Amino acid sequence: MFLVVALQAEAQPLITHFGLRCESPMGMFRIYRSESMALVVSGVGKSLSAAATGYLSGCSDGWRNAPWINIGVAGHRNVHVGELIVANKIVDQSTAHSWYPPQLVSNVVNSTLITVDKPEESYPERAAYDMEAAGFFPSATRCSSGELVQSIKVISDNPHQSIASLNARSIEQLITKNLSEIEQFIHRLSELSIEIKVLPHNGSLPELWANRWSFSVTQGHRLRRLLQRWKVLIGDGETLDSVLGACKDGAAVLTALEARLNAEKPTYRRSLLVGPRVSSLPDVQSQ
Amino acid sequence: MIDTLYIEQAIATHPRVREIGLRFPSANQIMCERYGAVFNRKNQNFRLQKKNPSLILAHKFDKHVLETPEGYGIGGRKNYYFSHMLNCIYDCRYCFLQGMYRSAHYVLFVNYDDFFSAMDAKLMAHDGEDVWFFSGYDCDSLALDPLTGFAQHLLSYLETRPHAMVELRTKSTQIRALLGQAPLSNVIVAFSLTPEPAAVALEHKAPSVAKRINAMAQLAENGWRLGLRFDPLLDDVRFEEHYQSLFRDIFDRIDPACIHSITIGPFRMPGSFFSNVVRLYPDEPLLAGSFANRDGLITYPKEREAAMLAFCFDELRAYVSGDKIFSCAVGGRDTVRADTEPINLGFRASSH
Repeated sequence: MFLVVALQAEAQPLITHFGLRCESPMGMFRIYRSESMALVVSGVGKSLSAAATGYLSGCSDGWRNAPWINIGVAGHRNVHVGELIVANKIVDQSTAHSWYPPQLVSNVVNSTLITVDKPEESYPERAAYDMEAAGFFPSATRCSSGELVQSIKVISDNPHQSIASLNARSIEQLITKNLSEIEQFIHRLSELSIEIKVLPHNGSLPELWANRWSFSVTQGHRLRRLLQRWKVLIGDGETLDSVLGACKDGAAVLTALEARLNAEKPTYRRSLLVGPRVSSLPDVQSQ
Repeated sequence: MIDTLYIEQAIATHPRVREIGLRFPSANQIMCERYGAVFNRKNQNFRLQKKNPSLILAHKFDKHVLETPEGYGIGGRKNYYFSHMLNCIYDCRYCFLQGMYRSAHYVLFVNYDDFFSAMDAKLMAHDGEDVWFFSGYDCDSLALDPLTGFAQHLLSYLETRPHAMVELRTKSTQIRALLGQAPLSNVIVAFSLTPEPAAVALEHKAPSVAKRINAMAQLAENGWRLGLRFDPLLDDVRFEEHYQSLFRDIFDRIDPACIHSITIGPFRMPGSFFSNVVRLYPDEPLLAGSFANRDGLITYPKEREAAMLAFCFDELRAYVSGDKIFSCAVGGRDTVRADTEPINLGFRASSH
């Protein structure tokens, strides 16, 4: 789970709530982490937001298709201060380019979010206004699936409550008041991400085998799929040793596995492997 | 049912768009320039979007009617297909759409008349000949009909075009528009069917086979001509028993005289689509089975495929004459029976 936040005041309630620790030494951007979450403080503006998103990705060994959320405050013409919205359309005001984050979490109010280069005080459209989302979204969708890249904002100002009245303390309070909803949103996106979690490309066969055989990159891909098929079709009903015991090299392993799998009778049956796609199968060591 | 409605700005005031918008008063309506800005973008995930698909209302500017691949058909010489929608409300694990698109949103093209104009152009080009138009390649022809009303418009159009032969392909029981009017001899309502155990395991959210047969029986009673589409044929250790049972269940209820045509098509999918689907559902037993790659097309091994086709063909011959049975197998007629005339090459993917 990756969070991209513009201001320290927006970040602080999240850092405290999720028990994140500041990473040192500090690089281009300040990063806070726990085991399951990383937060970067980008600074204000879409360029910094895009840069910080890329920086956080580069500094993290995260899996592909992890959730990325841009959290912060925004103005809105029609929404009350303190309400949380999720952007269903992000517009870069300076280029008129639009993005449409797919909406899978339905319990948060949706709104168009216009990213501006300077603070917007007249709220000309029925939309939220921020300064980062149009930098964050295209950058984060290079690291993850679009459904898992979202921008959520707490409304901090509107025509009745000027942006001039905001300060660090009031911003912290706005985020703090919405922590529960933010956490629910994060939780829901996490569930979705686990469903499509891509198995790491690097890994190893159980030590016993890894020492016996080696596989080219192509063979590694094939082996991974064969092991996946084994898990689905045969599972624990039979040990791999019974098939692979006599194999002399990687190619023979692939042939033996394929032959055994192809001998399996087809059946109409539902996938029994519901829930997270985190397999206990051995991963494949590629050369 | 629909939480988010994307609408192309240019058609925001189209009466059909307004009408559909009113059907979803609590949906978020989001204006977009073109549907391509929302649908099928890079880094979208079909499996996730399928959890809560949005509806996109769009205008189709060109290519309303396309030629089918050579040899595809159910007896006609001129064959075309069209898609007034992209994607389907059902979630069938063998469906090629999940490998073809990255997006599971439904796209509805609201300019129905442009499809009909394009069909007219084809009819004029083949003046005096029957021209076949296949609907339901990129969508289910009827599943969303209560919302789209497309069938009613199409039927009205077809009433005065006897040479326009249309196949409506469906797994749906949404047949009200058809039952509400006199049958048309130039319309074939073709139902996709698999044995009940396969339907239960693989055709998520689709009506049961029994309900589909019931819908067929109602249509037959009202004089509509029917098609049976066993496409894809899906292998199982009890394949013969399951398909025998399916055929028996159908013909217990349906008079064979009501059957216009039967298509049998083994599972087949372009390799790239298949890889995409495996990536989406690596734990799906169907996809973990034994397949061959024949010129970039993923199919059952050739011998097994031939045996499946031959079995179904022989079984179906007990109910209908061979000239009503068509195959979508790769390699065409040779894979079924050399003595069978109307065998055609199929679309490169099995039905959905």
